[in-house]
Amino acid sequence: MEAGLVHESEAKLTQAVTAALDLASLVLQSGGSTPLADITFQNVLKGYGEERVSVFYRQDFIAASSIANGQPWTVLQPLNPPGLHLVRASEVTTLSERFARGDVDTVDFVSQVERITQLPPPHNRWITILAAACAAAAFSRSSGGDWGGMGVVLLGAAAGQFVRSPLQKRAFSRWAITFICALISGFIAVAGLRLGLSRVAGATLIASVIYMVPGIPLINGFIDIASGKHLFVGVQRLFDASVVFFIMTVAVAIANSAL
Amino acid sequence: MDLTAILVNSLWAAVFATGMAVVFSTPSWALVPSFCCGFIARLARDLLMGWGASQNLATFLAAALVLFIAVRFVRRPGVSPIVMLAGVVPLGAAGALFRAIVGFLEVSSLKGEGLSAPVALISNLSILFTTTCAIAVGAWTGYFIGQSVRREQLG
Repeated sequence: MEAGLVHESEAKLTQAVTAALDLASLVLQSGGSTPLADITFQNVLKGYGEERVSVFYRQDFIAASSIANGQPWTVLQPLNPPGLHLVRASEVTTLSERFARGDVDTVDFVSQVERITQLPPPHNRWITILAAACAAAAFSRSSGGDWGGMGVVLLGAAAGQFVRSPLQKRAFSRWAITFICALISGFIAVAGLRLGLSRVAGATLIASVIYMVPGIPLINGFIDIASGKHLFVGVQRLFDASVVFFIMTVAVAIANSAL
Repeated sequence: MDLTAILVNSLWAAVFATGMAVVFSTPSWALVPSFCCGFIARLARDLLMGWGASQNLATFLAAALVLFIAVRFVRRPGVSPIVMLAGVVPLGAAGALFRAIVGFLEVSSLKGEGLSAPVALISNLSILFTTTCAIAVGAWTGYFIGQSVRREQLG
């Protein structure tokens, strides 16, 4: 934590910190790592000409503190559960870099933030379902699965992702969504195995739920820890990813024992 | 070393990486680079392992190579390498993690000859941990080397 600079203009500092927190939270909620969110935060402050602000990251909030007119103060920015929108994370980071360099003025910066916040998902629902099914099927083949298993996995993953999208839109708990979708995909995979469509049980069962693998949180967690500055949030991310894996496995195990 | 099998598996890994890139909301223009990165990642890892490298070293080098290529050769202005992360996902130890968790679920009811299962469980956990570390450190290394080379060229 760095502190000590007495700011003459509290309003200017508040505006800078609020904007920096908004962008850093957008990065985190869109699937960015904590170091990336921190770079974005510092870039925005630099663009506003304010630098002596401390920031602390957690998975559920970001806290920024400084001293204005001799008085210490802290702002907390709550974070929604992390989602995935890598286009948004990428655009936010780029905008912050341009703002720090002075390529974008404050008015344009605010309008650009508005635009980025409203960005729609880059792929529609059906494309995402097709992609999840193809990814799962390809994983089953690259893990030693047979052609029959690939077909079963294709169907299971497509059904799971079909249910997953509307549940995500209705803001269901991530863990509940993972359990429900893994159960659906798992049941289809187990049914395929019982019907003799595949002889490679391991690859078929694992691949049927692989589209829900928390790859980005897992890698971000390690990046946070490796950065040396965000150990706590990195451990939180790893724990969260591990729970998702655990839920997926339990759901598949239930499907396996039920049929 | 079966080169045909390595190429076929690399192709499947590339399809997997592209599919996951869409699920991860990677922009459309980055799907072809994601496909290439997935292919290169798996190909590099399998080739290195075929030449005698350990799985962790091969994974580290493959992840570093993919991120280096992403940073160095994706020239689109203002693009962050975050969109290329899908390329390293095929290197992940998802299989080991699933086997480890299944091992956890089964280990409490083991008897007799099944008591060797905890060794497999520890082994799977170890593979998972070291592989994920290798990916993260490799990706970080590749990113910084790529950024350094780019800065030198701009400077």
